[in-house]
Amino acid sequence: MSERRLRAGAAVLALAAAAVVVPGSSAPAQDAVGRDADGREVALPRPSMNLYGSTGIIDMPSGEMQPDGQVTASYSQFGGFVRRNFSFQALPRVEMSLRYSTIHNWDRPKDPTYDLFDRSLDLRLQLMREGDYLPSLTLGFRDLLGTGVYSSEYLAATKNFLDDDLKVTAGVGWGRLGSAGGVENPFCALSDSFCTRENNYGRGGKPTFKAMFHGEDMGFFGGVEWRTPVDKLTLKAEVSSDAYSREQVSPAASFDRKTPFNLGAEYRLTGGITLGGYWMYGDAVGFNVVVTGNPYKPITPQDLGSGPMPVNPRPAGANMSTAWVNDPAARAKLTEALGDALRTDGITLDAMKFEDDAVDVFIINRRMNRTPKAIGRTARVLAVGLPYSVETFRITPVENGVPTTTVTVRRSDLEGLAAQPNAGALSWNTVQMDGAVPALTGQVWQRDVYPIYDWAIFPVPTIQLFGGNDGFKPQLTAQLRGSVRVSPGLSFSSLIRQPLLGVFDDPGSDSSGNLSPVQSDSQRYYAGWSPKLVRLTGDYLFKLNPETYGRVSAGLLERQFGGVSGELLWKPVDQNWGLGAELNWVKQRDFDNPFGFGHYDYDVVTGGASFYWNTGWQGIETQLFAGRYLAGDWGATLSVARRFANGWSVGAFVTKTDVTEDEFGEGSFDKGLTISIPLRWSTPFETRQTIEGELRSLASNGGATLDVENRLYPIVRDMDQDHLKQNWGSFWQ
Amino acid sequence: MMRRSFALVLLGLLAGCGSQRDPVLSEAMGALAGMWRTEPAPKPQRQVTRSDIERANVAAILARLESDPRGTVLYATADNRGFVTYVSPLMQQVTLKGAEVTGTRGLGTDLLSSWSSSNDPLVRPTPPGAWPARVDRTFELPGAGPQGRVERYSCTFERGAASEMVILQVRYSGLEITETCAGPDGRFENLHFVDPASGAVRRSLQWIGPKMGHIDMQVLEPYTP
Repeated sequence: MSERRLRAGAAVLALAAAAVVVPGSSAPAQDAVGRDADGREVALPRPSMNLYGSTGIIDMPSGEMQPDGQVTASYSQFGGFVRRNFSFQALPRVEMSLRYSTIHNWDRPKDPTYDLFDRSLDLRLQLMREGDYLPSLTLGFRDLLGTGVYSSEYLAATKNFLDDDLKVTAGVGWGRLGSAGGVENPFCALSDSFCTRENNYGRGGKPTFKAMFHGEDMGFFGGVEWRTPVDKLTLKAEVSSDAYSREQVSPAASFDRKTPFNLGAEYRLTGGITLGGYWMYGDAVGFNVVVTGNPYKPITPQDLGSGPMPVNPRPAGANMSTAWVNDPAARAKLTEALGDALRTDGITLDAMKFEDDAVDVFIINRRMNRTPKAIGRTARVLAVGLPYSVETFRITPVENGVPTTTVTVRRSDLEGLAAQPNAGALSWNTVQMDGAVPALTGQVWQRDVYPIYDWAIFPVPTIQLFGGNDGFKPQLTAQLRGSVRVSPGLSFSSLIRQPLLGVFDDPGSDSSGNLSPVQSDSQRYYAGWSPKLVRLTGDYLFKLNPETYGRVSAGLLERQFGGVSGELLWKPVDQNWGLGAELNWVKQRDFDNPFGFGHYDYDVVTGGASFYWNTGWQGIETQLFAGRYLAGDWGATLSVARRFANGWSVGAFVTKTDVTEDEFGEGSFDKGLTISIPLRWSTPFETRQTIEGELRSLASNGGATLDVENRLYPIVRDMDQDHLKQNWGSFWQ
Repeated sequence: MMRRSFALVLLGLLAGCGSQRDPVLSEAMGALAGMWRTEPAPKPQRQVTRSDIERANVAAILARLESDPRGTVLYATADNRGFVTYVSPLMQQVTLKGAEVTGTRGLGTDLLSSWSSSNDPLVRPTPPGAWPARVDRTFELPGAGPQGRVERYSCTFERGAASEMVILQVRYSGLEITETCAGPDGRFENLHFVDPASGAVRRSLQWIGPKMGHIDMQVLEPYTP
């Protein structure tokens, strides 16, 4: 049985927790926009999700889309069919859904109790938005990359009536959605080949173009949704064109599709949680739990708290003496006062260089989710606290010990624009941005606090898919992270994991296959109740010049590998692309000995080059990596993510190497999803913490990569000109 | 008379927390402590009186959100070319141009900035009989990019009845003027209580954004540059 680990467990739980605390009055993220009696935009009800985790009625799809950026996790069940769904409105007219399903007693007469665990991906494209007279129209592809269990295509149209209280959907479908109550497939008139639908999808994982719109029949489906006068309650009814044929083949199958009709009621518990109950196909009771959130709709006020320090212009005829520059006592007093003032905003003054009319400050932003806000607050403190002779502030955020981008602010501009109309745009035109120098030289005050000790303990929920008896195994571990930073760029850190819930007791045996088990044995590394030493490394981050960053790491780099890792990144701040290179020599660790390397006796040189590109369109950012992977295979990985200004990110990656599809196994090649949610989105106070999730196959060894910490691009990504511009409105906040 | 208190804010900050604690953790723990606190809530602070304002010799306003039953006194702290920023003891801020609210900070969702056409009687006191028929208002709200999200409205005024109002123990006679604004993003109403002779705004209920709604601003001690 294959194994997949859904590391997005933390993200899903965060979404759930966030959804729970959404106040009842908080308007959910909305798609369609209406007007209230005052003409102000008001949210129309967000379209509902069906049991497949995509926008739809009950089991059928609809023609509507979710609001842009909407992220949804849902769990549905009826008649022995369980679906765990993750959906993302990737673009305003593009919706994607990923699904992990369990189908009990699946289509095997000779093995009646066989349970199928299946993953599938849906893609929906909205061809037309709803107008005054025309409905919204969506073209959908279900199970686009899977093994074909749910394979179908459809066109669905939806129109709202009665002040949007009544929603009517009608559609046509092929594949599964053409399996009941249909007519002859009209495409058969074009070619006989359309009348045959290929059902052999091999190992899955590839687009099923050859089967699209094929099959003998085309089915009709439709339904109505009524938003009742009872607040938050919606009633639904639909006609399904899915025959559920293969689900009823097994002698042990308990599901009997008696009618094509489904009925249901849904209650929106809060803005982010919807519960649904259904009577399915005249035979089974079903339910659906939907948890949803939207990057554009933080669930707490984002500007609650203390404002920035007010700035007054320097008085006319102010004392412009520069004698203080050569007075060590004055400088010391100044840095102490500035450091104290900045600390109230969670900003650490790390280094400072004085000149007659300029200062350079290196700051560590420990709290502000938006970097321009930290820069703005620093500039205000400098304007209030520094002698009048200082005209130029060069402010440099330091990330992980590395100076990133220097923002130059003229004090007179700051004084002239503070509190003025349109100050955000005006200030953006007056500041200058450059790559920061590797270190300040000359008359520099440097924070003398090393070594800095830091530690944290935190719970990490994960979900193991297809690894347990029921194919779905929630897990919980406690993680203890400790570090000591001995200089700005040099640190030593460790990560220890203590299993708490849902642990596999048996580490199992070595996995088989032609490739070294660089990933497929991962379950062994986390089996058992003993604490696991995940990482123990020394890391040195540095800059070669204002545009080039470097990193060297050594030690136990991740749970399965130890060794040495080096990386270089060239990323000018005024450029929307960058280049990186990484080289690692690693040896596979023992799964049962924290410091052992003898069991596998496998080492490899891995690494390659990366091209990073921020497209500037809809927040789409890409990375193309080419090189050698952990199993010694050569290939490339393309990662595409949509990043929102507040730090939300949802992305996908695909890796193709010289490993054959047969060697790789189910899925044919490596692919996965990533999600990152800033905790600030759901908290009323400033924090830079994020919740990360990743969904990828751990069953195959092709395309496996080293999971080393402190990779450079994620550290400096938000510090370039384009990213700072996205949040520059917060400079004055 | 010039009433200002520039130094207070910085001094207050310099006396702030000096520990190296993780601010995130501290804040989270603070919030948690607040949720779990079982001891009685601290006694409410003494209400500010007129004599307090006179004694402070500082321009001051009382600002109150719709959700806030009491309101907060804010003191003039900065003057940037006629935009006067009033600050509360908790560093929440309201910026006024005359009596027009042009910015807020720390109240929930910031009004980044706001401005109006040159004939705005909120900015320059104008006898009620001379108020213009129409004023344009622009609001900058948090959003992507340096300017954030911009909403524009066109506003008209309607004179109401003469009335009296007590603002911090002082009784004023004045006129109520209703302002009705409409634009592509919706509509709202403001309400102003103005001096019948000079047109100076003594109290104003002004819209500061779709999420925050209105702020009730009362002039306790006017600012004079």
